[in-house]
Amino acid sequence: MAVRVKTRRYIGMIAVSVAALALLAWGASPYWLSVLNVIGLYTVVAVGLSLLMGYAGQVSLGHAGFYGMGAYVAAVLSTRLGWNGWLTLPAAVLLTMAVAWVVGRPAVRLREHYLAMATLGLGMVFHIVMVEWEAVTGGSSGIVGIPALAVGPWTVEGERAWLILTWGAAAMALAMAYSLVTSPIGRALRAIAGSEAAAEALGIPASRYKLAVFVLSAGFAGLAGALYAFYVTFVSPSSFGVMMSIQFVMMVVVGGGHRLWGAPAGAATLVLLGEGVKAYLPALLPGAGGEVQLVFYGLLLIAILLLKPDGVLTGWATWRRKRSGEHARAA
Amino acid sequence: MDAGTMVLQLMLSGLTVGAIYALVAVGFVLIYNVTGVLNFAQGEFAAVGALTGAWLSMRGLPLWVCVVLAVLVAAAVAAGVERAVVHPARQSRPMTVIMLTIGAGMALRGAALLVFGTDPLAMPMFTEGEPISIGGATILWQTVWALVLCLLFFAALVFFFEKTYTGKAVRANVMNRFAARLYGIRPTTLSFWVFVVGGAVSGLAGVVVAPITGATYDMGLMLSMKGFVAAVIGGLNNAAAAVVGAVLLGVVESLATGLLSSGYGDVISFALLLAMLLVRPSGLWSRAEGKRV
Repeated sequence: MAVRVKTRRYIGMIAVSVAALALLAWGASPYWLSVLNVIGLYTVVAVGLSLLMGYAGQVSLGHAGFYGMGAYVAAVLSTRLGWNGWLTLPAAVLLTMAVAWVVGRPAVRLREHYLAMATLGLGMVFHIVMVEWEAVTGGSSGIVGIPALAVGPWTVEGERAWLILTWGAAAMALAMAYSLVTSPIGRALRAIAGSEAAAEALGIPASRYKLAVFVLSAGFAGLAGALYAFYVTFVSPSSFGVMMSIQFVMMVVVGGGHRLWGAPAGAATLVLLGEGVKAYLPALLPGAGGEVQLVFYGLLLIAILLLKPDGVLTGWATWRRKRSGEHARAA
Repeated sequence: MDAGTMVLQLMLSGLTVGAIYALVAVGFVLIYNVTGVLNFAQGEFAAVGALTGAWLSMRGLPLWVCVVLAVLVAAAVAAGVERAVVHPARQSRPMTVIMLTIGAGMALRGAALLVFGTDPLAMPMFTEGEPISIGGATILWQTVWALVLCLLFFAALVFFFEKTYTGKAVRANVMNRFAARLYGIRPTTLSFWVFVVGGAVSGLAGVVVAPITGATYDMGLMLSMKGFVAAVIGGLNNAAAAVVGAVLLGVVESLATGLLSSGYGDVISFALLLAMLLVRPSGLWSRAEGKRV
């Protein structure tokens, strides 16, 4: 019953979002269109990560690595081996998922921090490989001239055309995540996040589920990365460092991992925040490099986790639920 | 230089690196076992120590003063992190605490960048003089310093744990937190002091390595990672095993870098971590194998 009511509400939200997006796509300047595209791509990553963090109770500090791996697989296959661009997308997704499986399998069976550290290390290793394996990755200058995606005679070019792809992928990721969390598997995942021992006592194979969610979230990141490669037409290691991984985590933290709408909201907040910092920081702090953001992000992360551990942007939902006297039955 | 000498040389430099990793790893293990917090900001304490020491030495202070002050500042910063971030979140889920320590690490790194800038700071070697030659291989005096200071610190730690009341309280807390509480040992006080000690030991690591590598604001993250790998090799709940793990890691990494390729040393250490997680997640020297939940 609750689910059906919720579904109806979600349909309303989807209609509103699509209308808002269409309006933005029609009216916005190229700059804002590119911002929207980036938000769409990050939403795909954040949805996967929020499944991992909000539902499986694990955190990955290496999602920029998976994102970068997807981007490099797409770039290498399409430029060096001449693959059709569309074929590189599933290849990128499958390869990232395979790597995530190999790394995740031993790590999810242990305590939370093992996966956190293992993914942090994995992200660093990806970064090193991108820089060092020059024959394939082009070293620190990366790979340029990635061909545009094409449908028959039409190529996907220009910010508006890309909106369909980025937000199409975001919508697909959200839909998949929604059907996952409303399924029995979703309930099992919530049970694991609540108490792993209790969940296992009820016969839920906790580590297998956690691994599946981790692999799925890596796949989302790989897809977003591959799309990113075609979107910007070049890749270089600097876009996929540890800082990016932490930004992905922050998107989920800001949006609140328990609600799927937190992912696009968190992605939008972080992207807009980043753009704002880029635009206004030089005026506020002359001579300060972009890395000064670190202090700001670090303190923001601490403040949110200490004061609003369920996310800032979904605070109103909690408030409404409290008001209507309904108990915490997060979707 | 023939192959044998080269291997000897690499092993000696691996030993130095291993000693530094060992200091970070011991901080990790201490904090983890007393508070249950895996502190991702551990390496940042080392960076604070290194930067403070190098900055003070450039102001012309005597070297020993710089070292002592660097260790004290790192300890103070660690204490601040404990009070501001870890203590308020002591009831939170482990995932939240992990992210909190990451936030603290980022804030520290950014603050270091604001204070000290992006350029590496140089620090003089603790003693001048020709490098020592052993069987054709050379070691810097700084290496000797690193090893001696490490040994002294570990001796002090052993004394602390075996002979002092607080040390015994810490050990009791590790064995059984609940029983320790019944005996009047306050976990929150211990948490504070173990962060102080963990910060000091990392700060020492930083200030010892600064003359060799220079001090940069972003050196912390890699040190955190290496300290963790070393601790996992040792088993995460045994400080002495973590030291052995760290030396092992340093030597393997140095050999891999020297004999294979310069860029891939970090990849090797990560491969070690994965192999450990796969084969012996509770450490190389663990007797009982099994799932740790």
